[in-house]
Amino acid sequence: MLNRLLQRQIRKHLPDLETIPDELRPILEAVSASYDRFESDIHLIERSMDLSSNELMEANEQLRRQTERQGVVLEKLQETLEACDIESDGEYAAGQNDDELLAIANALRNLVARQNESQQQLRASEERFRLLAEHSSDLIVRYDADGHCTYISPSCGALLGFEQADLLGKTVFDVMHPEDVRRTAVALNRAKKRNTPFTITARIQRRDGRYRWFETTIRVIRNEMTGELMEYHTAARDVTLRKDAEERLRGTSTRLQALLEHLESGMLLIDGDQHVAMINTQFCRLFNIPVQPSDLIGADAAVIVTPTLALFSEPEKVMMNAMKIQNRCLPVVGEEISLIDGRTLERDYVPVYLDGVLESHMWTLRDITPRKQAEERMRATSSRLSTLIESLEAAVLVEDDLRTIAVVNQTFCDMFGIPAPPQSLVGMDCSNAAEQSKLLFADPGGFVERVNRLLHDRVTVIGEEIAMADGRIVERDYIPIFVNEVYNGHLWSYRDITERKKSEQALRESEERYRLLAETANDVIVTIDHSSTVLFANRAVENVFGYAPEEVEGRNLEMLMPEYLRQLHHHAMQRYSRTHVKHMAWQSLELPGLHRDGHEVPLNVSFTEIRKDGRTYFTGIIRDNTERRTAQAEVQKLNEDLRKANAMLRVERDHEKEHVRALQEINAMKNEFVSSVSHELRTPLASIIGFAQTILVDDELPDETQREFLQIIHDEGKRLAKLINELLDVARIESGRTEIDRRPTNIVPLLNRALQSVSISAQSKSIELIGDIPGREIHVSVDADRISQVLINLLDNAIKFTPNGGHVMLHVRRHEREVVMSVIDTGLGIPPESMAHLFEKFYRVHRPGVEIRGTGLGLAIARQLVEMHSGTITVESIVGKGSTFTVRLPMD
Amino acid sequence: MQQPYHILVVEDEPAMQILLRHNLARAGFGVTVVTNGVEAQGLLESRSFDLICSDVMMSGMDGMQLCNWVKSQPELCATPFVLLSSRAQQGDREAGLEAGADIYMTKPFDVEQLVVVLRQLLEEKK
Repeated sequence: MLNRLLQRQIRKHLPDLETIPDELRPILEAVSASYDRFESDIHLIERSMDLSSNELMEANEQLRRQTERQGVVLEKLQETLEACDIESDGEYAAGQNDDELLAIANALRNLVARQNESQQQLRASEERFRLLAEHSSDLIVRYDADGHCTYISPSCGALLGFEQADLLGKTVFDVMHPEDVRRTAVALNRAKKRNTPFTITARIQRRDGRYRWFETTIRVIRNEMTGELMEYHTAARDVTLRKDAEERLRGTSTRLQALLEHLESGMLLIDGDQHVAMINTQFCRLFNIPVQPSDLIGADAAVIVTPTLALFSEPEKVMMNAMKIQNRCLPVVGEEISLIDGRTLERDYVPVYLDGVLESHMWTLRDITPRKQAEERMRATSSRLSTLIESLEAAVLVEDDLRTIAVVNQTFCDMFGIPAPPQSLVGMDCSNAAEQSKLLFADPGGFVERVNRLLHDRVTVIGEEIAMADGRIVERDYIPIFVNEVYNGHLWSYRDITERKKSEQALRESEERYRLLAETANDVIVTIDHSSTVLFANRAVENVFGYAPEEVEGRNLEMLMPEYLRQLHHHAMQRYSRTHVKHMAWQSLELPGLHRDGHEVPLNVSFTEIRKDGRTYFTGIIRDNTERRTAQAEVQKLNEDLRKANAMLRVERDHEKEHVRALQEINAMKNEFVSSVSHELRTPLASIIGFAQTILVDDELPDETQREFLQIIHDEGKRLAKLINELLDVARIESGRTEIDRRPTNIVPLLNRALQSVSISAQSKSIELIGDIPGREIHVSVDADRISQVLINLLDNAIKFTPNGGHVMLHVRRHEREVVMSVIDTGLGIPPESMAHLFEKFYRVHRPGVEIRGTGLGLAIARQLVEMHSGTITVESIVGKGSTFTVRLPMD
Repeated sequence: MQQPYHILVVEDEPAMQILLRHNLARAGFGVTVVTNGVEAQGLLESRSFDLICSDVMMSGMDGMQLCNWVKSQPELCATPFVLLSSRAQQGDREAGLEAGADIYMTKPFDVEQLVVVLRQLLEEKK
């Protein structure tokens, strides 16, 4: 093409070759020749290229580059030619263009050299490719534009069983499977339009009639100049094996799909782009996804996963975990996930690699709720069982069918001196345990033999007694364990029954002793049942009643009673068995018995009732009283004397106690008195000292304050003095040192004087003081001073406890053989709860808000003095109305 | 200027009331006087004091009972409690301290010493 172009241009621009400089002619000829060669080269290259290899590509690239370069050269040439043209048209010579032309000539020479070189290469390459095609295991075929085979590589023999010559001139469709023809034709047409190589897989019939799958790459070769279709080059490879594998794979895939659908687990396969590659119905069901699984394939995985998150108890954690797992690309199996509805799922992750490349992520989820629940129940049961066995008093060892320890408890370890904790023994083999532990038993050989026997027989044996070497006795149970009638192991249980055995032994010995005792006792011992039948009688029955025990046993007890007692005994027994109420003493009954020879024997009888196994028995101890009567009378008398002496002693002791109690009381009273006195003395003293100190230390004390304080000191001093006087009075009276000098006295003047002495304090409170005193004389035997003291005290109190403007009256009357003197006030009254304590020393009535001071001794003294006159002093009072104190003195 | 300490005096003897009020006020304390335990209790339910100084033998509720009550109240138990008593028998002091009193002082007492003791107690408390 280029050649023709060049020729045309040369002809056009250089019509006369003679005008071309001599140097240029050979160049142009060389160029022309080079283009001829070039075109044939291209043809060669194109053909070789279709055999497609790196080498060809490289060569092609090289050629392309050359073509480019040639294009450049041609452009240069064009320019040069144009320049020449201008020169030839113009007047001046082309002398200055000579250099340029020379450069072009050089360049073209180089080009020719390089082209020769590349042609050389190509030829070598073509040679190699022919060899390659000849020896290739693939089937390499060339078809002409009509589809007839022009070349076929020798491998057709091996692949199709044909000779090369058999197929030359045939079309591909002659040997193709009819089903594949249409498909191939369509693909071929498409390829022709597009001009790109394409690959098709189709069945080709071998000479022997069998079809083989071939993957064929077809390249359409066109004439580059004209675009005319020239050839088809094909390279085919037998892919029957692969195809079969694919077929199988497709079958497998279908089966897999079916399998997936029927899986109990939910499965989700996510491809590398986070799209759903596979999902099954179970998965949708697990997460309540209301869509057909097939509709989800290809969907964004997030579309499926996101709505399920709300179902998880810990959605963030589950999501984070899933992302982590998926990033790590390592299988994770058996991850447990709990859902908010209480279900538990088990999640597996398996990264799916295809040819070493991570292709997709497979998630499988199973609802293991029932299993979890069962496990939980199992665990609970197992735990309960273990705890139970742990806490058993028996030593328990459970072995499985391989004689491995399944359960053992502490008691077992303790019993057999195993120092290790029981948990550490679980799983240990104990097939040799009997042999190892045999020395613990009294009969080692017998033990081993017995164990082997039991293990062989697999029959439950309960309560075997075994003697241990150290003297202990254990009881052993062997229980084989059958689960669904399959032997599953066995349980050994040992109980230390040494104590029980000992106590049984002791009991037996004791029983023996008692029997002996009963036999040898001097007293008769008889046991009867509820119908009075004698069940047992001892030897002594013979001494007392004249019968041998054998003669009595089995007969009615009444045979040992006088005739007249038998009816009585019978009724008593009947009544008792009916009511269970004892109507007589059961101990030391004095009763007559009947001797064999007919004489009555005085007896002392005691009964006890014995209930055993729901039946009632009576045991009697019967003593012959004949010799004892007289002695007993003496003992009784002595006892009586002793009782009397005891009683007297007790009376003495009681008196003594009484005395001590009285002394204690007095002591307590004294203490209380001293305490009260101390308090009463300390109170004014504290004021006196306190105020004196205050005045002494405070120089800046205002005069009036100082005066006020001095007044307090003075008042408190007087109070203290009065208190001391009264205390001395009390002390004198109580110690009995006060003597009253009773003389017959007319008390009327005495009463008036008392009124007189309190009139000043009454006036200061505007209290009306009334004397209701008879005009005539009243003679009483009194100590005038003391009675005055009493009355003045009562009047003082009355005035003190009567508000301003009230009344206080002294009312005096003779009443039969008494003189009755009452001090009546309209004062505050005395609360009922205080009345009882009013005359006690230091008792003061508490009146909220009223601060009236006294020593608390006045009334106590008054009462003492009145009582010394054989009189009484009483009080009546109504709170808020007033009080009346009444003194009665006998007139004798 | 610091708020003066305020002392509750519980005393039924008028003379002793005057003596305590005068001397405690002179020492710079705020003083409130009530005449028995019941009154003190009523007052303590509405306001607090820095220290309580109480007589023992009073009608109604006595000093021991008051002390016991104060020391059993969570919000009052930290308040120092001084018993001023004219009971000086064997065991009286022990009974007072048993009731929870911080100081048991017998009458008659040294007025100045009392002030020193109270101040010391108040400082300790602070």
